[in-house]
Amino acid sequence: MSAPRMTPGMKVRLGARLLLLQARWDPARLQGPGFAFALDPWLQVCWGGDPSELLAARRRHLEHFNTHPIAAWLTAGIVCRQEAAASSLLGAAREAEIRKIGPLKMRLGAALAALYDSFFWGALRPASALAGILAAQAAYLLGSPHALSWAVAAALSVYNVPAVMARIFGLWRGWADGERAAAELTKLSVQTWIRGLRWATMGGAFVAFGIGAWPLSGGDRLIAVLTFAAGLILTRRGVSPLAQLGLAGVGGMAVSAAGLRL
Amino acid sequence: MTTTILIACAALAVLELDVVLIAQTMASRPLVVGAAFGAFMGKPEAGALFGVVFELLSLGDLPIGGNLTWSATIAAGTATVLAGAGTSFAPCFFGGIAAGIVHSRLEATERVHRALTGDALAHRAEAGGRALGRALGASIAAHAAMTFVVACAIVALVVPIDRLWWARAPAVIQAGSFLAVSSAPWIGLSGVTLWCLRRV
Repeated sequence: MSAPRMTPGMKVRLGARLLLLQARWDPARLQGPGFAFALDPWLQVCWGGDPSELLAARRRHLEHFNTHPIAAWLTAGIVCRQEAAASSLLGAAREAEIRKIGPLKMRLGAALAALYDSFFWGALRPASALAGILAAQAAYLLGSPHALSWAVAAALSVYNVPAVMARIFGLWRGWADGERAAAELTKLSVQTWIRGLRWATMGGAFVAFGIGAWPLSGGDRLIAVLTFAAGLILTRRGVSPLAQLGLAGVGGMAVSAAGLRL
Repeated sequence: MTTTILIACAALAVLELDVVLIAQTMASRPLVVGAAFGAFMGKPEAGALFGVVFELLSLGDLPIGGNLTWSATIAAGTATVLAGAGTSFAPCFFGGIAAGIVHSRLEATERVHRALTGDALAHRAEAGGRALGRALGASIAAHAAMTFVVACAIVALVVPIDRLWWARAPAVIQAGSFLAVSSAPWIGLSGVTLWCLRRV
């Protein structure tokens, strides 16, 4: 029995359904229901001829599962390949192949989440925000009437160009190469990229501060510098930004009560 | 104006789905929401400012492991809608933060409810059919409705507070609000700077 082949149409369908991965996220099953929903058309292709196997396949994918939403595309490609391989076998060989799927999915989910969280959430997301803010400031300084459009375009493209590519290539390579596709990620210099993006974000934050604070009048500029410095100290001590806003409010009230003007 | 506010709150409810439930394209980022809603409500500068400030204040909150502190998207959207309704700047800002916090608390409750009904759903979904698709659709609709109600409720609460009380509020409260609002971009930038410095 030959393993079913995934058509481009099926990949598009799988990808469209993976966009709903977290549509029913809950603390118990996490992304399990969304992942099962995404895989369902493929499970019907693999196991449609055997209702009991289809039921079992649905059951194993409805269970607890979690990873980064973009890493889910690579995981889905690899899992679909495993499901197809299992469906092409018979007897004990099939059972052995099926038993590998659950642990493989969980292992991949956890390992890829660590990598993708660090890169996409922990480096690219702040970098794209700073890119948007700096683009707005630059466009404003250059007198562009569309400063906000530049900000939105910069923020969305810095994040989404790598994100969309990672989704599409993840699904494609996961299906084509199976587990090898995940192993090959270790050859990429992701940690170097993460460090580079974080340095760039930090530099961008200083530049944004300079551009934002420089045109202010003397008193306002002093408040900006003092607040920035206090923010560094308080954040280092674990005080959340919202709590810092509260402290600034209390400080403003104290200054006003003392009869001073801000 | 009421119709414009309702349309804006409905659009915010749809756009907010991008934060967790659908796609995560970052189209729901406060920066984008502030700019888009500012243009729609005729207050582009206010929208941009709220977008940038709430973006910076929330960058350290990573959406990992179901982390829910406050929704900066809802904060930026609601604050901009309030600005479009003619509300003073400080009430817009704090109304936005209140909306963001309330939304997150309700979202946590929503997730617990989903977990409680997860086993029954899994049982139905195993049999095939459209049970899972319908459950995902219901979850999306319920979440969007919740967002719409939160945004509308905060607008309905803050607009009269601003019109009836804010101008006559004690000078001490106005001064405290002014310093908190004007400090917000710098607090956000310092947070981003230190967050990156600790991790390079």
